Amino acid sequence: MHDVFVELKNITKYFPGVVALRDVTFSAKRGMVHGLVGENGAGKSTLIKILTGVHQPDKGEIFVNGKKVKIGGPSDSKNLGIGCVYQELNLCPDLSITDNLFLNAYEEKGLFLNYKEMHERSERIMADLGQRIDPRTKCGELGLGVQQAVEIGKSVLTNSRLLIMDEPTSSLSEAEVSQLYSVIKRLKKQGVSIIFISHKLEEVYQCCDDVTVMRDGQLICTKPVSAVTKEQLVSYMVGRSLDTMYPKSVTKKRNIMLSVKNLSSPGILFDVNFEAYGGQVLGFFGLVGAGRTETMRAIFGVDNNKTGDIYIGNNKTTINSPRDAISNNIAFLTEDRKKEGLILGASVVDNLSLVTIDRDKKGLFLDKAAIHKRSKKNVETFRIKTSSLNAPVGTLSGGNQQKVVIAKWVNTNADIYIFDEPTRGIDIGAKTEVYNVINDLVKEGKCVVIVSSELPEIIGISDRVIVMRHGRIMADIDRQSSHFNQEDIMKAAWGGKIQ
Amino acid sequence: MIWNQAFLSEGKTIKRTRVLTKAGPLLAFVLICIALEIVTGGRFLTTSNIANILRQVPIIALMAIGMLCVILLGGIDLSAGSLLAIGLCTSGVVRKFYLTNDSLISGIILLTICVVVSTVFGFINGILLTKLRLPHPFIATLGSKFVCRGLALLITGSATISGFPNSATTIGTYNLFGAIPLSFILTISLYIVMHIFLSNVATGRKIYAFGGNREAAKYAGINTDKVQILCYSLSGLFCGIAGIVYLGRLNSAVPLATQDGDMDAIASCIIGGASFLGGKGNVWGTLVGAFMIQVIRNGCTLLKLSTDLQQIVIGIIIIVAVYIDVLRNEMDNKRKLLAVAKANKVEDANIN
Repeated sequence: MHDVFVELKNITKYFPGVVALRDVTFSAKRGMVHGLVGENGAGKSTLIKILTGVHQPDKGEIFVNGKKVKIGGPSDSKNLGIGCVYQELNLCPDLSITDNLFLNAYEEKGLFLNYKEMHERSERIMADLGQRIDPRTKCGELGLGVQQAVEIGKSVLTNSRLLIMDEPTSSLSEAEVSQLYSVIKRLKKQGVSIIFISHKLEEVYQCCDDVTVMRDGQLICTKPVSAVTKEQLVSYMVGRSLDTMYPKSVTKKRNIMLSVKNLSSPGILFDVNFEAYGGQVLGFFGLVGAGRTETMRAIFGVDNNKTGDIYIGNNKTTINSPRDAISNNIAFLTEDRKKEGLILGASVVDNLSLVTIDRDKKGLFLDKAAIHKRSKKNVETFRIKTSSLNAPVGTLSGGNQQKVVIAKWVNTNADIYIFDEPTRGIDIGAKTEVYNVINDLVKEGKCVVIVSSELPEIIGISDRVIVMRHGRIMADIDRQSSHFNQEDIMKAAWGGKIQ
Repeated sequence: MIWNQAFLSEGKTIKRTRVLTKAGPLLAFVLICIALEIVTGGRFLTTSNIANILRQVPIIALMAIGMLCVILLGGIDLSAGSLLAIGLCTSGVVRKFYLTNDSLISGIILLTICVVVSTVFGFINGILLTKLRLPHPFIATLGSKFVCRGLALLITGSATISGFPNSATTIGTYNLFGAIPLSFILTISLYIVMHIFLSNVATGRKIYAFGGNREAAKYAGINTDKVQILCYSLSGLFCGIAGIVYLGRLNSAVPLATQDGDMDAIASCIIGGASFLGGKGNVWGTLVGAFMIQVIRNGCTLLKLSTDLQQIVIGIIIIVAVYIDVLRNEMDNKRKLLAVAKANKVEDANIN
């Protein structure tokens, strides 16, 4: 038996316009939990997808049990004993737990499926994972914790020797997290190797043996967890000190520009009250499902099953559609740039005038010359790197795409900018540029609201942080307050009271 | 865990809605039957009329079951009516020019041709979709809808071919005990077979998995191309079997047969509770859907309503059936949200 279960040697992977992985060498040992940390876009997901056969490496070799292998697709990976629990759970909501567990690993008796046996086994597997539940229940009716257990169950069932977990705790409650830890311990005892990807360093210290840091597609270092401090890990991840990462300029707080009173939506939001000021960055932090995005969507008129009042300046305003919001000078930069923010196949110039298209008219027709002139100016002010104004936006890097989205909204002369996860999936250098753009907006006296799941980012760029949990506001902390730190904000996000 | 408890307490209501989901179409069907019995003044539920319906229903019901496989994938087969026509007409052409004797063997050959040709074109649909990577089944099957109908007209010279041997028409015409059509027995048997296939055979479950979540199916290592090709082939196969029944009932190969067949089949699945998004639906709902359409047609005929009115009635029923489904889903989601919120509140109270 080999001590190392899987080994990647000198793996390189190219995507159009980026090197996603550069010469990465990585190994996972039997019965060990291997932490994998790094900022968004560091290459963790690509690495995982190479192990699970979703992507094939352009260069490099993979060894399993000391034998060189080729992982051509998900079924190859499965046959090699590699299982993965993705961050976005992959279940069929209308099928039962049993059906999901045994997907493509069915127990058959002759021609037919042996449901009796399968139900019994899935009940046992789920019980081992700490979930006592009828295996006939449809997965769509389960909470996220149980759904995740079903995903882990899939790997248990196929007897995976390597289990990859991609941010497994991101949507779990505290009780569910400790349950997950005990499951990990049990699997470890059985000699299963585990790769544990996390954004939360505390978790890495709690359950990992080794930790590997990745940055910009490169492997920075692999060390035993006991031999490295949290501060060291952070500096490895970021590659520079936090001060240069988050260029925070101090601006003067001005008048109230947006106030939300008793905003509620059945089952989702409960009496949300807050004010946002001009010249200030207001950060919204919370765990997944805390209701931050839902709050912003309600303000922007996307979700209309709501009660409560919204004031723009001092005026009570009715916002029932994004159109209403835009005409009240609100801009909303959505979480999913590619799906909701840009038309990837269309040119930079077309995307830049997407929101203003109704105003860019001269008589019946579009004023092409004016649009072109403004777009050119946009590209200069926001330092958008593009080969030409007519290049499809999809060919730009993530950071430049995000700048196009911001410029598009700036063109509407909006006063209130709501950013939902503004730096998701863009590399570190580009992040800083996005922060600079945000700083510029604030300097002009605009009101900026930012929703982010990355605590260092929220702390780095906000003047004030509101913490939400389960659709309620838990805390409202000013940058000057002594509570303006990672520990207290996290505590509030978990439902704890800050004294 | 806490989520779990919330849903356990909701378990009863969920079960109740589940029963309603399953029985909903059937209930509507019974109500329509009662209504028709009343408005027709007792002419609807007579032995002869029921026998009539049982003779009319197999063609649409058979096409619908193939269509269900495709719809479960989240796909659609617009070519179903044409698939039936091309099988039927190929068989007709063979009869006219090559197999002119009336032996049992030639009957069997003619029926085999009818089924095989339709299946082959269904298979081609699957190939177009997967191996040629056409982006949406709408396009692949729209194309073959025209191609197959055109071929059927071409090979028959746009004329009906009549006069099949008895050995070929029996399935479409024979009545057991003088009243129960053999074609209906065949249909029910195939529904039972497909029920077992879809609920108790690995390949059948893979169809649901693909329709419910493509990514999950892919990551589970399911050969998704194979599953899709199989389903489109099944759609062809069942069109072919429906073609056999058609051939027997009319004793002729009609190039313009079942022009609305694909739409009727789709409507049966949808009325029967299948989701257009895939992953949801079952054979019994589809059977009820097929009956519902046929019964309304029958009722309209009894009432001497014109075909245009029949169309309007069926159209409205489709819309109402799906709207009820939309409302039910919305209520379901709302209840789930509130249950979660309640559980969250309990959890938060425990923390502090």
